[in-house]
Amino acid sequence: MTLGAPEQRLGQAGQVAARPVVALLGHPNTGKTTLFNRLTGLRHKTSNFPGTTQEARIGSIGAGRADLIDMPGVYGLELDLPESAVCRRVLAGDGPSPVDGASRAPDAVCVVLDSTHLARNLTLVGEASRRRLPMVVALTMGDVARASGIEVDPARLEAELGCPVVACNARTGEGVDRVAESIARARIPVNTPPGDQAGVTRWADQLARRVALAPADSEKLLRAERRTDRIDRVLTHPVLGAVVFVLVMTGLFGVVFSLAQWPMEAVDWLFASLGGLAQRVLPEGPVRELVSQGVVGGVGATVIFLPQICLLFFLISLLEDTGYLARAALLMDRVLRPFGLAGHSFVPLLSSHACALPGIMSARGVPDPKERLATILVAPFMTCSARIPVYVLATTLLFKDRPWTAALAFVGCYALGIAAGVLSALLVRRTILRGKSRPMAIELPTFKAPSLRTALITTLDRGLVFLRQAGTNILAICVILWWLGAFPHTAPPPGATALREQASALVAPGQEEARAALETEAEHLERAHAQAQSFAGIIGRAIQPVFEPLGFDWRLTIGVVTSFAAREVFVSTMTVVVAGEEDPEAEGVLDQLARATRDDGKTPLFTPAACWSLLVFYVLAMQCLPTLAVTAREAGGARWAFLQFAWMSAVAYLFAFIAYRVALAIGGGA
Amino acid sequence: MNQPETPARRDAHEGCCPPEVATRRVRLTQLRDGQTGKVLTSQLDPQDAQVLSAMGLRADAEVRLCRTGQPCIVAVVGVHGLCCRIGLAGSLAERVVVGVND
Repeated sequence: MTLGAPEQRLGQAGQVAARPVVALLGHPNTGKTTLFNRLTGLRHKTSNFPGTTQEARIGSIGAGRADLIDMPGVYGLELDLPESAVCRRVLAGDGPSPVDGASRAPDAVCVVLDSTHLARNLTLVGEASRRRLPMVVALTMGDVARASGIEVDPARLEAELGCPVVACNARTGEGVDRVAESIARARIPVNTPPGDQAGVTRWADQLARRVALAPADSEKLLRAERRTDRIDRVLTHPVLGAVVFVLVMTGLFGVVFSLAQWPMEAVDWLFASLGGLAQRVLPEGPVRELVSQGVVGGVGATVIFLPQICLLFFLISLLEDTGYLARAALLMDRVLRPFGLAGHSFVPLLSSHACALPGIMSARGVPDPKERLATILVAPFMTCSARIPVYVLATTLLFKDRPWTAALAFVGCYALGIAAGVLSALLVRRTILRGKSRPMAIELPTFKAPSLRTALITTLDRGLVFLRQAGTNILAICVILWWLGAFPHTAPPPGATALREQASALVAPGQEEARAALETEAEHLERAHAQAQSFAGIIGRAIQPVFEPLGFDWRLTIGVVTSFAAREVFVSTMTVVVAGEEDPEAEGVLDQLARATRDDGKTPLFTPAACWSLLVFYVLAMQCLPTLAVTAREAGGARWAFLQFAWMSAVAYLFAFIAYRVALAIGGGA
Repeated sequence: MNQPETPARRDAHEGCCPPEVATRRVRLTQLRDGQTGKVLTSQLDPQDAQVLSAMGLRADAEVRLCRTGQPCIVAVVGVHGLCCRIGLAGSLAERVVVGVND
């Protein structure tokens, strides 16, 4: 195959595409993705294989002369597994290619071969060679094999197979250039395995014996194995392993939260500055408001999570590379399996306690598609940081001066979210995502130092995916919701006008303080009025009867409507609607909220029953549009996001209703 | 301890080694920590058997139990002595029959 010369491409006669396509194939844990990153650098994009939720990474190699597809790691092409089916389809050219959508087989296949498990890996070479595609073999992990006394002879293997075999080290980059060059010399192997699958296995075993020398010192190997045994016994022990796991995860999230704080503040400052700049530069009017508040404010509110997402993926990538994450998945499998989830689901669910966005995105590490989808669907039930302001408000109103009881209620909210999540997972796995759970059989890779380069590329990859999302769907959603909350502009209420008139009369020296107080009060009234008269306010009033059974009046309903895009907005909306103050932490706001009454002037706005109902509603409801957008993308369709929204809203409504009625029954109505 | 195998079960895992190689047939879960054996056959579903076989846990493979329990860890010895470790759910491990030399 000749890169850059489409007319000379091997493969499909009569079809000439812009660039040759090479498929990268290999077992999991062979260094395939590290090699892909080395070969393509930053010249790659991430999407899904058409019609699947399997991640497809496509990059260009040979200075842009060919496209490389990173296929899912598989133990065999003939296995009855979704990832094997994807590989079979790509190699057969069955269906649209993830590169250009055309139905054609790749021009060559590059099989990544782990030198430490040569025989097992050679079965994949045997299966691939039966596809009669030009092939190149990249021999990785040579240094690890050598350290164990095993010497693989690439020249001998090349002669045996009849296609180029190149030894390389994807971590250090050694030999990677030769892999790229050898792709241009890809040839259809002459030595292919005979017979059935058993024939392939025998062929691979015999070939491995011919091309590699066994270690002279088997004692050394045994000692290394015993050492790994001891570490594994601790890491997968039900008690010790759980302690290590808790420590590692606490450390991971501690680092994420503490280190992400500064860049998050920087992002916040940047977008506030951009909003301010737009305010100064643009002429007064709706365009200025749209740009400064809708576009800049909306995107800023989403992009602020970027540092958390990047840090989380960076650390998870490092952890995965060490070999620990596979042990952790094995440990957690016992806990999650009864609910139809895999041990791999634990990290996404735990991450969702920070923010559902990175949690859902990290579900890509769950190998089984149904378990992955179930994880994505239930991840937003976990209490994210955006719910905390609502929890604080409701528990403070419920348990004023009883901090321990409030703390207990807080813990209850977390527990309710987890219970709802795992039970929902069980339900979806027994209904719409029915199917046999794949019993845990996971390869535990050798412990090794993680690759910083791979972690950085993974981080960049995930960060860009998130930014693309923030710049398209999320931006559009933010603009619409901003418009609903900001328009139509209405005349100030008579009370505010009267206050301003009074303030303007206070011109004498010494009256500055009284004047400022009147103006502040007028401003509060104007804000509350504007919020109530906005489209969101109108919608809130219109749908208030729907929320009546939950104990919500029209003001609480406006809070629910405006926080549809982001939960945390509920508190600021309530402070604006009730107190006319934008800052929920401003002095006296909480007292004003506690004292606020409903339209009858007697019933408190936040009755204990309404507070319980509100608390349960916000634990369970899907009030986060960016999460829905990410679910649609990661799950492979808007229907999953719709299902997630409908299910979570229904569960939230039902349980909030129950909480309200129970609280009323025990005297929480006033 | 050793349940009789049906021909269908036996066929699910091709390429069994001759029974005279092993002196005692036990389930993988019955091995002690660090004990080695040779996979004889399995009573797994064909799909699970196929996956484990592709991972290296196939008939005639030499195995060592690294950690007992649920799930267990088994090291599959490769042709040159290097092992690959597999974490295995108990439901799978108890269906793999190995031969051990006492």
